Amino acid sequence: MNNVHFSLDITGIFWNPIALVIIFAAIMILIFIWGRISFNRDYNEKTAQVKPFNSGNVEEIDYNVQSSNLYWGFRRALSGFYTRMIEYHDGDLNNYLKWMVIIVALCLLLVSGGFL
Amino acid sequence: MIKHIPILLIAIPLLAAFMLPIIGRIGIKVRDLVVLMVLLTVNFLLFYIIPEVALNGKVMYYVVGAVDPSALHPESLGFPIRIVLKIDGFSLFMGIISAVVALSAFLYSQSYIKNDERKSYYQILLMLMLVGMLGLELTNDLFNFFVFMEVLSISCAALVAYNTEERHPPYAGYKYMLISAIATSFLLLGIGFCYAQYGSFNMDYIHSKMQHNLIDKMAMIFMIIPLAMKAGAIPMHMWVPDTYSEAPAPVTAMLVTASQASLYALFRFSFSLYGNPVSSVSINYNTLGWIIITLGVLSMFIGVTMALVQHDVKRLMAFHAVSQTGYMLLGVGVGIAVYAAADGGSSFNAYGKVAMTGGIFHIMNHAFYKGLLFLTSGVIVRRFGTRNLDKMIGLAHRDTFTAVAFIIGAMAIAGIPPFNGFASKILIYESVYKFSPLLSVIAMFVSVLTLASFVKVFYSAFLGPRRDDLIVDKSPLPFGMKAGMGILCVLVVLLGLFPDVVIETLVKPAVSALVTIR
Repeated sequence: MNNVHFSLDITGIFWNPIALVIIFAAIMILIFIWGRISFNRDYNEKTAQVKPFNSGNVEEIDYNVQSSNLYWGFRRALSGFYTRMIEYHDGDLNNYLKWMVIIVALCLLLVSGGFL
Repeated sequence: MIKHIPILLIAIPLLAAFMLPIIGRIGIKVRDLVVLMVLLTVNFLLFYIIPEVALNGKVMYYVVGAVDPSALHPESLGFPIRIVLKIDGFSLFMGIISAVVALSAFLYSQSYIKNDERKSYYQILLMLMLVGMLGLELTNDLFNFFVFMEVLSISCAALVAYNTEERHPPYAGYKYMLISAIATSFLLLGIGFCYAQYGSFNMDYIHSKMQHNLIDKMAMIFMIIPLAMKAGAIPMHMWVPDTYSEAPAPVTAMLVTASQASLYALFRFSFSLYGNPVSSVSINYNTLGWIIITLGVLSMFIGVTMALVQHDVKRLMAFHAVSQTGYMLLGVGVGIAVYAAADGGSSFNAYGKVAMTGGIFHIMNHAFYKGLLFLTSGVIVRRFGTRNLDKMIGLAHRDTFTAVAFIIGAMAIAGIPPFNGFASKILIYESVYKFSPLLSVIAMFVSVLTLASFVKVFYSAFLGPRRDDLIVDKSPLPFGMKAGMGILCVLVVLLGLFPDVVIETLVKPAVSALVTIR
């Protein structure tokens, strides 16, 4: 307990979160002061400025891209991987337990082969 | 009095659990007050012994049934037959995690679970869940460990199936019960092998006599692999999203700590039962370490990639629980891989121990931020009446507190400074890099995908225009739910701002308790 410091310093790994918070706060204060001095003040809450514009769609629900459409490129690029993975997560307990038996069997093979 | 703390930690919640049906007849408020007092007492007792156990390095033994429970030193017994409880740095560390998350989950449940007479059953099971976790973390007896694992499994299964607004909770509970039953059957087989070999269930005794022969190694496999499955390691993780997503939110937060109790046992058996790196006849620690590392890396990567494409908010978070377990396995796996290296322990001292420190610190961090995230998911699901992210929008307008709590939890799990997830992840990244740069790069890439995944949840559930017509439950957020989330928020921030305090006070003693031989 005598060695406790407010920074993390373990065998060459150094990290001081307090310093980061102080620096972050200082930058925020500077940005705030700078903003008060030089930012435009033409924002008005009671005008159409605050309404989102989405290529002419008027229904509010259409303003948001739905979560299932996010990262579609990632999913498409890994479609083979995802097809197989979703197949494995089929909710069937027999299949779930099969994996434990496979891993136990593999480890027992390692033991019997003298690798463990 | 202090010498009775090990048994009190188990006996108080156990007694309370069986007294609750009677106390519940006096009044609902009295019942709730009793549960709160029990949880506060357990937390107090655990924090009370920090100076003695963690800071002074004393190991507390308790021989159940003895006239003077602390007088006999079990290691000096030729043939110990009594059940012995043992609190060292690692069991204390895990006990604190279990007790703190149980307190938060209870406070949250006060408003989340309908407050009627049936709630006594919920609270009984919550108490038994705590008993199961504390029991298996404090026991030094293998059969006792199995019994507490069963107590934990049965209470978890019943709580998963507790009547809520979710769609298929009874089936999820049944699934959890069956998975647990199969896992503990294998575990019992391994324990039976140990008993057949050494005629005792006492872990210290078995460790002192360990021969590392074929039967011992088979016993190790039968014990460690089911525990890895209970901890949610890939490819044995598939029950995790099915179960976590259906359980009530506070129960899911507790399930995270229950899974980590299994992880505790995995690490405990690897070291305290089998650990003897200086013995000429020993297990191959390098191979064991690589098995754990492989399970960890697969868990990290597959967990996060599966989470990224989920539309069910709780299922998404459940996959992240799998992914984060991978970090712990990676950190401790690297420690195990170099534990008995032929360099006289120089690699272990240079980075293996730090990797273990990071992995074990991550257990605590994960319990707090993942518990917090599951509690926020409870608010989200209750507000919209669905778990489908596609049908959510703009909750931050209404629930600013939940939005802030979610941001704190999400930034912590993504490893963004200065939150607690970063503090443990930096230890894992840097130490694992010295072992294998590729593993470290994978770990960092997984953190990026984690952030992307939680940005998706935040965008879907909290951002966008205010849509009161989509809100099913318009009641103000109750104090209990705020308190439950608030406690975990504060802990996530404090552990991130002062990681060295926690590492020196709790994590290093936990690591030292595991690797005393080295």
